[in-house]
Amino acid sequence: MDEPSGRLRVQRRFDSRPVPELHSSLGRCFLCGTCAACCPVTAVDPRFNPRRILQNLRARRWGEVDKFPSTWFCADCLLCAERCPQGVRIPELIATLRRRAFVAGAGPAAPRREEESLSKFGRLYELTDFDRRRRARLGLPAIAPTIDEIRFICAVGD
Amino acid sequence: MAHALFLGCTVPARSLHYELSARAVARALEFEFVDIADFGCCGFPLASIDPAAAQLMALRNLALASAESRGIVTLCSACTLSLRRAARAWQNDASFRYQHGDRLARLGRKLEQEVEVTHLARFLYHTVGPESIASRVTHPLEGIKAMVHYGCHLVRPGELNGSSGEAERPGWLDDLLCATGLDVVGRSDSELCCGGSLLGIEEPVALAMADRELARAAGLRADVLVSACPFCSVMYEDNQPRIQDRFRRDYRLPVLFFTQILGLALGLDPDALGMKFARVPVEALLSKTA
Repeated sequence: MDEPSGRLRVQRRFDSRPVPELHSSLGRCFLCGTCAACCPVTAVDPRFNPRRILQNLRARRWGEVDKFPSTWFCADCLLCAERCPQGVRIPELIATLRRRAFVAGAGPAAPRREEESLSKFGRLYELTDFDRRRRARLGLPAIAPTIDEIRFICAVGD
Repeated sequence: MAHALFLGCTVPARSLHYELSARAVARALEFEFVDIADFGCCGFPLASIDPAAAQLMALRNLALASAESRGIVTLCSACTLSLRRAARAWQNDASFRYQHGDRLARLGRKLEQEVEVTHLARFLYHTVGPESIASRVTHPLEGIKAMVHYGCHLVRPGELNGSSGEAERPGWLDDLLCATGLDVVGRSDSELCCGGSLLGIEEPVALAMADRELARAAGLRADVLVSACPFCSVMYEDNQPRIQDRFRRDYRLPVLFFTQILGLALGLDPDALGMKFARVPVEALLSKTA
């Protein structure tokens, strides 16, 4: 695993079973809390705290990681990754955990609804007849209302 | 060769004023943008729950532009991130190309040329620039205080956009808008996130996040909050009444897209800039600009 020079060596290998796809940079985290200090969500709701998630991951307390709100209050702002002195890929770690939960049927309804809309229309919001007529009235170019290729992408999965 | 304009999902559904003003400003500055009707979702909403699908959706859009040898100009910051990330990965990561090449081919698509993806705000800054804008301003927006909300995905990750320093202290959009004569306040305090990703997940948290930026603007006595992303506008403008109710605020702060601001300064008709779509009344603001 790559270790940029100037970074503190914490632990060469981090055994991330049972979630082996967790980004290897987790091994570099020394729980400094810079992520929590800059997190705009933590600032308004301490129930979500990226440092606590990392702490639980490093201590292999997987059950704690899954407890509400788990990773779901992350706003995807990417500030933690920008600020982390160790280059820990926190957004990627959160994405891995979310994917795992989602596939297991856990997590909030909103992402599922979005996926359904994408499967149905190929877009997040349905483009209704009203929308299409309004575009025409405003002199805006037409957009494909349903995009079959995207429906195919969403149906196939990975 | 004209760039393809990428609207994304949110602009056509919720931010027609952004699209109208973007096209109007482009025309005024003598840019031609081309539309590719088959552009679809950029993939961003699926990024954490189904990354392979998200990446494929992004690559599909890149392939559509590549087939016409065009670059892409985006309106939404999340679209910008999703498409740029995919373009970079395709360019630099052989295993990424290997993973997705087949699936792209099964869609009947190819990605053979590098596709440059640029957010419209950056595009205008780099291609036109503040000085050129200043020389074309016919209605200087003097006496108006504006606070720019860069948002998150327009400036982060820094390394996708050139440098970390830029992500921490952007100033280019402030500079671009200063050219209109605006008094830009709260420069480069770009940490705050609108909370848009959380609106459907935990609304109170999302609203609390948006409230912080509105409060910052109010504290600086801004007359207008300037947005560069439709989702930020959904939070600051569409949800302003809810935020006011919930946190007992009285902001009544107009939220305009940077394209609407530029358009006003260039003397374009407010109707052409989608001012009718404003959810927080802009009459007082517009009368200051007249």
